[in-house]
Amino acid sequence: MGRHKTNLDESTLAFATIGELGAALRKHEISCLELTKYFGERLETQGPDYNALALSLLKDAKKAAKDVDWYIKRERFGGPLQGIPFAVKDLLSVADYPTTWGAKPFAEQVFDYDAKVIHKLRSQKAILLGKLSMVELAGGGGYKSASASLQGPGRNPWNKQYWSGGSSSGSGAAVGAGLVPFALGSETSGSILTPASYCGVSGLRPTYGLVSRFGAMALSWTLDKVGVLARSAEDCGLVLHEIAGADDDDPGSAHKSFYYTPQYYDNLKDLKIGYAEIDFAEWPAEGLRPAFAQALAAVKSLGAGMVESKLPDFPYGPIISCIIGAEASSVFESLIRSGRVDQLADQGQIEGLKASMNYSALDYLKAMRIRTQIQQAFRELFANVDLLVAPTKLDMPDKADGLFDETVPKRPDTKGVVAGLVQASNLCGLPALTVPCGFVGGLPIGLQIVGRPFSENRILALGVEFQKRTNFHRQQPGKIAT
Amino acid sequence: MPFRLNRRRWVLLMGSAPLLAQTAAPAPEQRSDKAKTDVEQVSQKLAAVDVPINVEPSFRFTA
Repeated sequence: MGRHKTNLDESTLAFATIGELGAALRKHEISCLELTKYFGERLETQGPDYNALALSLLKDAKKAAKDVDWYIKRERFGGPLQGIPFAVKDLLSVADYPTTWGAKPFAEQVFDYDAKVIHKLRSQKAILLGKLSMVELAGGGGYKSASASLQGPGRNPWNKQYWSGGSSSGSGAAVGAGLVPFALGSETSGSILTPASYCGVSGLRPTYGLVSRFGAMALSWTLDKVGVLARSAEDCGLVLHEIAGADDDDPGSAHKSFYYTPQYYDNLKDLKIGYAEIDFAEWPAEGLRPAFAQALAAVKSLGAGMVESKLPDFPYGPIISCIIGAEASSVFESLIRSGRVDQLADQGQIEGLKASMNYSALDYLKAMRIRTQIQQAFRELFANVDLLVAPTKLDMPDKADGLFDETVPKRPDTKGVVAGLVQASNLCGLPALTVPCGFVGGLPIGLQIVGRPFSENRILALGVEFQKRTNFHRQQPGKIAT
Repeated sequence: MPFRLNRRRWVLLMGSAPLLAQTAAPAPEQRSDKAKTDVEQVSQKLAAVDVPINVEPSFRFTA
């Protein structure tokens, strides 16, 4: 591996946390250049196996790593991300390199500036290794297969026959396969939580407006968020600490900061966690229920107050479909009107984007007015609980090849929290964390934790405690310990 | 009884997977109609929701 001796050997280095890698760097057990080459070469050689790699930037990364080593050799240490390699969804611009948004019509697109989040991570001396694949245009038209991407179907590191999830497909697969310690992704409605859950990694979707979207593809101005996929909840907190903050270049900026402060964790015993038994016992596909039951038992063992809860009753699906459809068809109006939309890989995306131009102003404003009511209903819900927990996904991933199974699964008539939670929490701009909480048939499943706006520290506290008592997040593909 | 490979058996034995895959993918026109119908259904579902007259949309205009 290198000339230095480190406690991190070949079997653990790829799956080490940011804290472990940073400690190895600061103890001079490994150099930043060695770390960069190690992960960069993994990403280049194994990334294509999962159709996860959009563009390697290893050459530039090596230069940046040498610069970091100059500082580390002289004991001039920076923040926790100093010298840590990472990669980003190809929805974020990197100056002078292609930013394709995963879509053929934009395959040659080049910007002359870095996305704000990349600028921030580079200023912390994190090492950008490359760009990761994504569902074309973040799936805004509604895609019908995993093949809706320039790189082909995202393949799951736990079983390549299955999809890695979308739209941050490459981010999920690259972290899940140990090709990068962390990656940036984005979510409009489920695009971080889904691939993080399917790929067995921790994924944090920040509060709307907390992280700048300057330099990120717009899909839906009132819904888009940039977030993190990483090895652990703690790693998500470390990265969010660096990428969050006010930005005048982002009209959606909340002009708030975030300081990851695990030392001030709430006493979990003082927390009230909203949940519904039925979400774990009856809503998931049958094969997933025992694993989710164990996950719920693990949450209950943390000692927090558990409050049986119910999501406010709104037609979340149609509301978010209308808002994404109306905003996305405006964002991509010239693509649609010019006919270049037909170059997209997925027929569902093509027809979905075209049809979305049929939404009327009345439809959109109605959806946005109901959204106001939903926000109010959630304020009332969060007056009684601090957090909500539920399964992240109720079914196993679709197969990577072929069309998605569009059969509507039979679900209970009674609703708890999980039905519509992803759409509702996105509509309200709420932060969410998903953490691995079990395995079914060799594939990971995830538990989502949702909180009030700007309550990331509390969400992360629960995630960290859960991960102290479970080892699902430390498992590696092909080596699941029972 | 000798096994006779008639047309029906041939389709069942050899053609099922690829043929099913081909027939499973809807034609572009069907996808287009489905997408338009989906939008219409969303509009109808939104129209069915009563919103008090004093509720403003959830975005702010800043001067």
